[in-house]
Amino acid sequence: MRPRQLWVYVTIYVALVGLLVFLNYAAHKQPGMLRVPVYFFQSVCYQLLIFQVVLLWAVGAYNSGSVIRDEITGKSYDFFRMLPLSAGKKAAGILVGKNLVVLLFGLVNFVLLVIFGRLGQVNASLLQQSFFTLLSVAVLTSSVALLSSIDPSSRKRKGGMVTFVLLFLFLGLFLMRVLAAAWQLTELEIVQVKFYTLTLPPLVLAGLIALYFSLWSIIGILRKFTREDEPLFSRLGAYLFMLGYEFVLLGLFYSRLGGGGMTASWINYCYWLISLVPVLTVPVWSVRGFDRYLEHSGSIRRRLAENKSMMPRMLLYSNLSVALGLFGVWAACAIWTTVMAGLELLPQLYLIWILFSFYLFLVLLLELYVVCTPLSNRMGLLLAFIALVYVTLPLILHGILDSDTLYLYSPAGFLFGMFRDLNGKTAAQAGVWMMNLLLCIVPAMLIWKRYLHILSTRRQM
Amino acid sequence: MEILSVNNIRKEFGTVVAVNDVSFSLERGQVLGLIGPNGAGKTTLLRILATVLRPTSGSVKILGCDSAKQYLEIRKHVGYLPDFFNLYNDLTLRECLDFFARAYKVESHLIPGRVAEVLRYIELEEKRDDFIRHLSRGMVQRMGVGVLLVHSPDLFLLDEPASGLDPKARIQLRAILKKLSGEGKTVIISSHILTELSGFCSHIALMDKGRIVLHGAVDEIQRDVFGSRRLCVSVLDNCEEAVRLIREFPGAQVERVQDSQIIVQMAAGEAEWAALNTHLVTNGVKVFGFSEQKTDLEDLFMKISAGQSQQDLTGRAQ
Repeated sequence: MRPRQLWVYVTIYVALVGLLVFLNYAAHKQPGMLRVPVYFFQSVCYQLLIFQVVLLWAVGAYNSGSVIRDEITGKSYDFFRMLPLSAGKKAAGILVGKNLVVLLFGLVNFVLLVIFGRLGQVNASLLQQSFFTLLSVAVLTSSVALLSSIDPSSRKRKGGMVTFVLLFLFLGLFLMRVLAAAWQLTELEIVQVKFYTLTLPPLVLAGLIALYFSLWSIIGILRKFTREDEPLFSRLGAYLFMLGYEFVLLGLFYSRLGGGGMTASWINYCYWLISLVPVLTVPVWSVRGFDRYLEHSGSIRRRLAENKSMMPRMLLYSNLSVALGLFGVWAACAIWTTVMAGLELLPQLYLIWILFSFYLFLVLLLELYVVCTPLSNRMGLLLAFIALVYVTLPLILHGILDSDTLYLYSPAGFLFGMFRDLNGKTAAQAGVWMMNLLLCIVPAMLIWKRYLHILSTRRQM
Repeated sequence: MEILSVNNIRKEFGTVVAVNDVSFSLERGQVLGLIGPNGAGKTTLLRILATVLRPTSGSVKILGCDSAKQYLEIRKHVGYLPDFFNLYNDLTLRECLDFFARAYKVESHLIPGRVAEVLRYIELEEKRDDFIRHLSRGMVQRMGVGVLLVHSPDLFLLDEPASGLDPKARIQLRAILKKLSGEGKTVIISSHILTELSGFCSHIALMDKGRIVLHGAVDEIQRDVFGSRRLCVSVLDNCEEAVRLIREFPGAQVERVQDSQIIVQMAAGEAEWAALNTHLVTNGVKVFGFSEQKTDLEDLFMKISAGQSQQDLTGRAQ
C-alpha cells in the first residue's frame, strides 16, 4: 500500500469515528447537563462494536477472499504458485498482509472500545469475552473466504463483491444484531453454558467453536496450496473433521440429554438433525472425480496381479465408501445420544435405518454425477433436478392428495415427521425405506457399469 | 553437470494422455527447444518441470531434488514463464522486481543493484517507475523474463514466450533470449513457431501426441536427418534441364524444386560443388545463384514429419 492510499483510509476512519461520537453526543446532550452521561459512552461502545464486526468479519473476509481470485483472473497465479514459500507462509502472508489496514484500524478500535467501555461501565470480563469472540470469528470468516477462493480452474471473476454484499446484508447484519442485542443483556455477564461437564461463558464457547472451524479451514487452505487438484478433505481428514464436529456437538447437548420423555426425544432429534449436516456436506467436499478414479485404477492395476479383480479396491477407493463411513460415525453417535436420552432404542434404530435409505439414494446420485461427468456436462443439472424432485414431489403430492403420510417419502418431510410425532411411530413407515431402496437400484446399476467402464478404459490406456 | 533428469513421466487428464512416457536429461548450459504442434504436450511437460503440475507417474529431478518431495527447493532454482501470464498491474516495474527478489529471498542489500541490472538487461530501464498496467504486451513479456532473472535461476522454463507479440516485440524478446543462451544459461523453451528457436537452441526435442519423438543436439540431428550439406542453385530458365543435369552428376541428389531454385543434397566438398557449377554452365544452363543452403529448424521439422516414421527417428537420435 502506498502512503497516499493509507491516508485516504485513515481519513475515512477518523471521519467515521468522529461522526459516531458527535452524533451520539448530540443525541444524548440535554440542557444544563454538567457531566457526560454513562449511557453516551455505552452507546458509542456498542456502535464501535458493530463497526469492529463489520471491519473484522466483513472487510477482512472480503480482502482475504479476493487475493487468489484476483491472481487467477489477473493471470498471475502461476507466479504466486511458483514462489518458494511454504503453504503456511503463503496463507499467513495473505491473511495478515492483505489485511494490514484492517488489523491496524481494528487495533485502534479495540483501544477505543476499552476506553468507551470503561467509561460506560461495561463489564470488563464481557469486554474480554467479546474481543475473543470477535477475533476468533474474524479468523474463521477470513480463512473460509480465502479457502473458498482457491479454485485455479476458475478463469472468470465471479460476482464476488455482489455476492459478498448480499451475504453480509442477510447474514452478517443478522449476526451483528444478535451480538449487539446479547451484549446489552445484563444476564450475559452471569450466564454460563455447559460443554460436557465444563461451564463456560457463552461468548467464549462460541469463540472456541469458531476456532475449531478456523483450524479446519486453515488446514484446508494448506492442503489446497500444496495439493490443489485434490479434494478439500482427504479420507482421514473427512473422518477427523466428522469426529471433531460430533465431539463439539455432543459437548453442547450432553447436559441436556437424559430423563426420557418428549423433551429428551425432541433434544435428541435436534442433535440428530444438526449432526447430519457434515454427513451430507463432507462427502461433497471430499469427492474424488472421474480423473482420480481413472488415475487410481492405473495404480491398482500396477499393484495387483493380472488375474485379480480390481473392483473391490475400486469400491474401497470410491466416494461411496467414505460417505457410508461417515454415516456410520453419525449412526454410532446417534445411538449413543438415544441411550443417553433414556429413549427406547429399537424404534430409534428403525428411524436411523430409514434415514440411511434416504442418505444412500442421495449419495448414489452424487456418485452418479462423478462417474457420468465425462458423458455430459449437463449431468449435474439433471441429477440436481432429480434430487429436487425427490425432496419436493412427496410434499407436493401430500398437499394435493391430502394424504396423512405421503410427506414422509421426502427426506425433508421425514425429518419434519420425526419432530411432529416425537414417539417416532408416525415416521416409522416401512414403505419409505422400501421405496428408497427401490429407487437406489437404477443409480447403483449405472454406477457399477461406469466403474466397469473405468477399469476397462484403464486396461486399454 | 546434469541439471535436469526426467524419467518416464506420464500425465493423464481423464482419458487423455497429455505426456506419455517422456524421458530425457539436460546438462548445464544447454538450450533445449521443445518443438511440436499445438496439443503435443509441451505446456503440460513444462508445467510438470516447473512443479506446478504433478505427473501421474514417473519422476523429475532438478539439481538432484525430487520434484514430488522437494518442490519448494526446486522452485528456488527454476524460473518458469507461463504461456499466458500477467504481472501485478498496480506495481511499478521496480516494485514488482523488488517483490519477487524478496519472495525469492535475495539478500536485501543486493536487491536494488539486482533490480537495476535486470531492468537494464530487459531494456526497460526508462520505464522503471511506470506501472505495469501501462506496459505494452511485448514489454510485459520482457518483464516476465526479468521477474525470472531477478533470482538468477539455474533453469529457465519458457513456454511460448513470443506468442501473441508483434514482429518488433518478437525481435526484442529474441534478442534477450539470445543473450541468455549466449551467457550459458540452461533454458528449455517451447514453441510451435520454429523460426523463433532457430539460432540459439543447442538441442531440440520434438514432441508429438505426448511423446518425445526426437531429442538431441541440433548439429547431430541435422547430420542424422539430412546426411549431407545442401546447395541452393538458382537458374534463369530451363529449370527441367538443370534438374536433369544435376541428377546425372555423381553424388548429387535433388531434394526439391521451388520456382527457379533447386535444392541439392551433396555429401562431397567445395571442389565437387565447383565441378557441378561448371557442368551446368557448360551445358547451357544460366546459373545466377549458387550457395550453401543453411538448414534451420523449420526445414528439419518438415523433413522429420514428412519422411520418417517415429520409431525410426527415435532410433537415430539414440
